[in-house]
Amino acid sequence: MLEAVELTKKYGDMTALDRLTLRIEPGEIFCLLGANGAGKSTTINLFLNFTSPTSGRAVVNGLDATTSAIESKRSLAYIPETVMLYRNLTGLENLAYFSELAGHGYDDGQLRQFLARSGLQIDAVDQRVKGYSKGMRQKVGIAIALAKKATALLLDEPTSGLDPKASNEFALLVRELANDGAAVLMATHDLFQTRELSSRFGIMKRGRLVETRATREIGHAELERIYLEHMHD
Amino acid sequence: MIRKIARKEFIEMTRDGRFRTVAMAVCGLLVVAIVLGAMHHRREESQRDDARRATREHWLAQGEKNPHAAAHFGVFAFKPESALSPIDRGVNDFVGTFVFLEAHRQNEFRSRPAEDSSASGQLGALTAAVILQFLVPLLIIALGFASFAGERETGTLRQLLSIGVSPRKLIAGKWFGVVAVLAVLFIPTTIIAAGVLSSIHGLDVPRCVMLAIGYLLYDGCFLGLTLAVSALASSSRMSLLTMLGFWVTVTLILPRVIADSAEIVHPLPSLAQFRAGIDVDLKKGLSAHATDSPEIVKLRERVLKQYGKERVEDLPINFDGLILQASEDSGNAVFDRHYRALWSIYHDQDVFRSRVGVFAPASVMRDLSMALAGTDFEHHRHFAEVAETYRRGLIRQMNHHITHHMNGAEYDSKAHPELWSSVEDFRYEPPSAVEVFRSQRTNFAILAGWCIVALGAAWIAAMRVKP
Repeated sequence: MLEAVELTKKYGDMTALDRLTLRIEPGEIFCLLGANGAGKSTTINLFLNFTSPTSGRAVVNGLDATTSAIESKRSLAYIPETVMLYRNLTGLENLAYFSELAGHGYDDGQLRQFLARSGLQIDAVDQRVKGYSKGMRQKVGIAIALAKKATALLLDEPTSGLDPKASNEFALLVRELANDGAAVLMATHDLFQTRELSSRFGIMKRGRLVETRATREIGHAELERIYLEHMHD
Repeated sequence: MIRKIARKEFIEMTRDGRFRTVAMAVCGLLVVAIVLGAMHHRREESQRDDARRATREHWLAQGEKNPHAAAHFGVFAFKPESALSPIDRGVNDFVGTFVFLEAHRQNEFRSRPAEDSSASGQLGALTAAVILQFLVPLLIIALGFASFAGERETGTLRQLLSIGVSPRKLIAGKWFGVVAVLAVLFIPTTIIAAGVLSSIHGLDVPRCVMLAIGYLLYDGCFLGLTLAVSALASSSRMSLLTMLGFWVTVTLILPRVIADSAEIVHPLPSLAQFRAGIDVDLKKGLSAHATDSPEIVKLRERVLKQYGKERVEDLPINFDGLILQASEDSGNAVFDRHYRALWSIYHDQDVFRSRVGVFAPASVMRDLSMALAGTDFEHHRHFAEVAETYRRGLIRQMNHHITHHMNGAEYDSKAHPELWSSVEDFRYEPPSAVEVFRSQRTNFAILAGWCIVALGAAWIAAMRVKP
């Protein structure tokens, strides 16, 4: 479960996030839409404790992300726009390293299963990451989330720049994780994917969550209309 | 977790071809420097052994001769190369390698290799100490400057911190990772060095261990600061520039500034001034030729009274021998006064360097390295004092023979050659490792302090790491 309670972040006079209150239940995929600088990434950074809130709380599975920074991340997985990995290690070694640091010791076979489940080609598993495409890196990111048994997922424009096929594969994997009980918060510009993937979506504007809707209530055209309305205000 | 981070750091660094090239170059240079140092040591020792034997043979082969003439004939004392001089030549090339021991004079050391070297030689030899003090810190900076800053730039730090890794465990892991790489490089190099050193002179284990501890503290200081700077720097470029600036300041600029400042604050007399000062005081002292000087008159009266005689000719001893020794004692007092003042200036300079060196670990490491290698000025002074003690003993023995076994000090009175062999050959034992440790406690403490501060800085910086 991911929860923001009156979550506010100010940089001097500028309010990056204004009293965000939001709750994402296990199994739910919540997409945050908004222009650049709307506060989507700030929200994710607050859940990761990469920055401290000015007021309010970010809660991950009942743990305050600021006061229990290390503990709250144990059940959290983060996939940014491009999953950054160690270039001189193979995909398998990267996965082993990150899952070991997360406290999970897997044998070689189990790690390969996670990578296979994430859709990474078998012949790429033992190659150094410096030769990986962005889509392959994102798949290793999903494998890390799988290996970590994450129950909360933070995705920051994870399909940006991916080709449609890779983007679709990624969406299916995220759906799979949600079906396994993960609460997913995804910041995105992709309205199509929001419509296809999310349970709910919210639109952010100048640090405020200005609208929240259940995705199933509306069609794609309606979603686009609502989004553009807010963008043109 | 720390072990896992360290292992990953180790794998990544050793897979980096650029690192492998640089690291192998540094280690290769280190081995070459030690081998060259050992060859130099062996050559020097061989030459000095030959010279030692020759001076002894010449002394013994004097034949029948007046002992005072033998005292002027004199002997040479050759300073032995210390066991660790292949590591650090210290001041050896600048202070001279032997001294002529004769009656009436405490001579200066001769044969300073630096004076005979070419222009390129004046820049300083490539020794293991130079590599350990200058290049190894550079290697550590190269290994560590991107530890955090580089990961921040590539985005892996964000990935890592999102996992829930404690920044302190992260910095500890990175610290051990670099240490593991250095261990892989330098343990074999140390074993090779130990083999080379033990093959030429036997291994002085306590000094080697202390030297290793000193360099570990010195390197620990660079490693801690490199990680701290990397954790706080906005970019790896900034991290590298900051640490290179620190390296230049600490290893190149500050030691020179401190050494020059020490000479300004505690100036040494020029050699000409020093000699002139001694000559002036010697002239004021007792001369064996001025038999009617007040000092000799007083000595005569005291000795006549002691033996209850009226005339020198009635004494059971040769009074001329006593005059020679009194003249020697008078000269020795002059030498003691001047050399004590000179040593005192050197000591004050050492104290100054040690105090100001709190701000310059490289300066402290340089002093510590020379001291443990037995090639610092204190070791030279120790040898000079032992040689001078030997000279005085030898001259006293000659004068004693004249006093008690000869009728007159004239050159036609000759001693039997057995007298020459009764003089013990010159032997020298350098200060023990314990004595050196005692003298270097402050330098050890300063380096340990730097190491602790650097590790503390890394520890504190770890808490401020941001992705």
